[in-house]
Amino acid sequence: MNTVVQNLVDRLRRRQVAGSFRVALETAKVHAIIVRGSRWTDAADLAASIAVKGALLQAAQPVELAATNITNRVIGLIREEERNLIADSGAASFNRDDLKNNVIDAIKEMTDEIENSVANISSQALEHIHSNEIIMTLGMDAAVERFLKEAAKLRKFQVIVAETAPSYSGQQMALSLSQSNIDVTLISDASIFAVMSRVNKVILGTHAVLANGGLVAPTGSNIIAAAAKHYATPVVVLTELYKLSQEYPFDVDAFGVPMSPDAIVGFAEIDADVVEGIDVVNPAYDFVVPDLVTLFITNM
Amino acid sequence: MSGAKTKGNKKKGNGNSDAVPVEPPRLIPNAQNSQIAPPETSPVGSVASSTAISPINSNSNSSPKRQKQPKEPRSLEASLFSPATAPVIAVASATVVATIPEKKFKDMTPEEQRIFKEKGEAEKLAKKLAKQQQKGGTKQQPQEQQQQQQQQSQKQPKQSSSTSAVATQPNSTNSNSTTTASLNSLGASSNSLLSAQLSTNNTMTPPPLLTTMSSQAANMRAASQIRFDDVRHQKRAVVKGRTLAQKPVALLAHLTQFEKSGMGAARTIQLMDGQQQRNNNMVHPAVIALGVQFSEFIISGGIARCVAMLAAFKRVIADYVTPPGTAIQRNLNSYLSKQIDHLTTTRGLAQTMKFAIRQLKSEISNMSIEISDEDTKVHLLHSIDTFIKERIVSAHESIVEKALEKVKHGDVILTFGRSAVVERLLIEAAERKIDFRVIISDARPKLEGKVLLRRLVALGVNCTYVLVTSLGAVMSNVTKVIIGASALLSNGALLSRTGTAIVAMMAYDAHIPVMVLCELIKFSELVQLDSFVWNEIGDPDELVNIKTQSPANVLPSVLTPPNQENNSQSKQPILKEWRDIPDLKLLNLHYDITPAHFISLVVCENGCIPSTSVLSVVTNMKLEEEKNLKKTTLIR
Repeated sequence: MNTVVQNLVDRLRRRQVAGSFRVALETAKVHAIIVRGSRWTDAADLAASIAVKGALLQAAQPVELAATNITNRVIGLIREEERNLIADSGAASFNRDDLKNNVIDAIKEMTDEIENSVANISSQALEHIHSNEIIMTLGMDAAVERFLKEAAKLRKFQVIVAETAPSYSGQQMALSLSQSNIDVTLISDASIFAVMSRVNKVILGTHAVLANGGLVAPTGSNIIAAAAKHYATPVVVLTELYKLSQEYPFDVDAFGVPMSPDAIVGFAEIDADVVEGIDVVNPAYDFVVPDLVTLFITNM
Repeated sequence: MSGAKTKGNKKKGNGNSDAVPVEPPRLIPNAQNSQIAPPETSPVGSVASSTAISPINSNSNSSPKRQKQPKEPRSLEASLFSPATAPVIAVASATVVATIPEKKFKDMTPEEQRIFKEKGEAEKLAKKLAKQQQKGGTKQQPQEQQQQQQQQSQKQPKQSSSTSAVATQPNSTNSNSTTTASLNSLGASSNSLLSAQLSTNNTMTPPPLLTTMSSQAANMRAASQIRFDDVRHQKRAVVKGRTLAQKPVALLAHLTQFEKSGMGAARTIQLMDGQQQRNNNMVHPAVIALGVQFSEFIISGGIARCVAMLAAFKRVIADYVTPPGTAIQRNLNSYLSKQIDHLTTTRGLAQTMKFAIRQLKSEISNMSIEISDEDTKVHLLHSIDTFIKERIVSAHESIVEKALEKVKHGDVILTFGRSAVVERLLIEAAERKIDFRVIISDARPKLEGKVLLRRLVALGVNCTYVLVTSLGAVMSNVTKVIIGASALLSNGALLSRTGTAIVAMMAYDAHIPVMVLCELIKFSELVQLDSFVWNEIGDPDELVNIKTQSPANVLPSVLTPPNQENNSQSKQPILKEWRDIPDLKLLNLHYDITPAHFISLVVCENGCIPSTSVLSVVTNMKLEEEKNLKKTTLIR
């Protein structure tokens, strides 16, 4: 039991498992193993042990908020199944095996929901994307990609993608969309404000949504949402349910996840004394204030 | 390819020697010509000496479906919404298909790639001129700009006399001179003025009025250059020696979109020499070198380009020899215009350069006719030096002095990219031992801020370097924003390197003051509401090159499984084969517009003004110019 958890903790820390989708699935898997295999007496005991393991997983990679989200959902499932069993049987106690099987089934359902969340969101695409619209997006997000491709099956529209340096995930998005017969224009991040005057809608993906509605989203989302605000352009955020977190951003910079400055100012391209003298800020994620978001689309 | 060898023979060269003034510049193999036009309507047998282009022109009867009007009412929609290229091209696309090689762009050799790109431009131009020729027989003149008409009316009698020897054509003389005139207009309008002056006995044409000159100057960002989607302006906006973009972005169909021809500057110069035989000896080598430096971004930035241009012009003036029968005051202006036109082909003129040119030309026109050539030259060289000293060097000192009053101990200053005057301010502040920090924000693909970073670090300034996307993370520390300008427009908006608007916007949202340091020569009477009205579109391949990406940087996330990322991303550019994907376009804008309300303060050498007062300053400056002009005219 501990080895399974420790395995995932290690992979989280090394970022071998990263991104909300993968983290959510792996966490659910680990919790299912705990329910099935560990020693627990009743529901409360089980819930407590899940919570402890979940805290370990979250501590491994603080920015991967999906871990805590899934943990909390599993605990909720346990309590719900317990309640159901008590209501059904009428007695105060119930069969441990029944509870175990029910909980495992419920976790399986949750896993299926996670896996289908992108498909569910993209089924709503036609309600939001219309003909001859110019849509702007940023970076590479599975939900946004699927969303746009779904809409493109029926409607003709244009997409402007910002390349999202230094990860260039925007370039991958542009490549993928254009190969599905969507008219794509790739711009550099600096031109985001310049082209915003022509954009009808901004559609973004996100890494996590915080308790106040703020986003932890790939770097660049902040400026694109702020520019859209200036032009009164709606900002639509596609968020699967497992990305909704109960964390409150008391410290806005906590989710920044600074990455290697080498991608911005290469160690090879500057002298040693210059390296000493400068700070380079290269956060992986941005915090987007809730005021900048017009609409969340979830898979519910 | 059969067409390859004919590149050397350009139409102007042929027009002089041979009896064929009506060729578009380029090559389309014969096989395609027979599709478009039956060859028997070709004008003269001498056409056969050059390769078979003319059948397209002279034929106005065949293929009636190609005579469609360029769909004016639909063009706005089309340019907004259609994914395809400009509407006119779609008309001929069916016939062009035959010649597009089957191989994909990425598989071609560099030579083939270059030919492919150039053919794209050639074919479009051929189609346009074919259409032009169809209308040229019926109308007197295509509608042209006012300045064109003025000079056309002046030189029409001269032009037809010079082409009378040439006029053995069944085509009307009108259309001949029209087409020749319109072909000439591809160069400078004053090119023809000069040739008219040279070819006829000197009729002592009056000196070009300053109003004409300033309207030329004001139109240097000529209407044709923001009306590329209008067929009538297309050929004028097209520039020799530069290839039109293969995949222009529809949103900016009104601007010419070029891309690098792939052969670099040497080939471009060679091409030009072949094409512009008449202008061959007209462009000074210093200006040619300058053009290369501009187009390769070796020299960039409004002030740097202006100073470099003036330095080149000093050499031009020093080397200038007045042709017999003309006076330096009349002739030098047109000679300079030729240099300027060459510069315009490499990169559009900056506001600073336009201002300097206006001053220089008015200075030249105002020189008294009694002064000898040598003295005139000395005077002009001196006035250029004075211009640089007053309008640039001393303006910078004045601006820095005023701005330094605003920089206090403990300040954290955010700037974007690299501006000459902002750099001076920060260096001066560092030398005065003010305790401040600098955050330099920068953006791909130009990454000009790195140079500023090195300079400041060398002086021991505490610097932070950040990409413009990460501004949210650092904004909470910033106390003021100081940025430079390419131009300040009359509606108070700021035209500057793309990315500046983002910096100003983030500062505005965070209630941080934004200060713009701008010399008076950058104040412009133009107005722009957004970044689409006019912009400079750069080489799209700059976006493809992502050398700086390192595997350590990529947060493995969302889609790509971990084992795939490290191979694909760190080695190959992701969009290497973008040309083969029809739906994918790359847009590399150079400038953007920062709205006036983002700017708190503009510091110029005359003082600190709000951005809304730019219009009154510009009006004042124009009044001053006209007053000076009147003064000198009176004296004469």
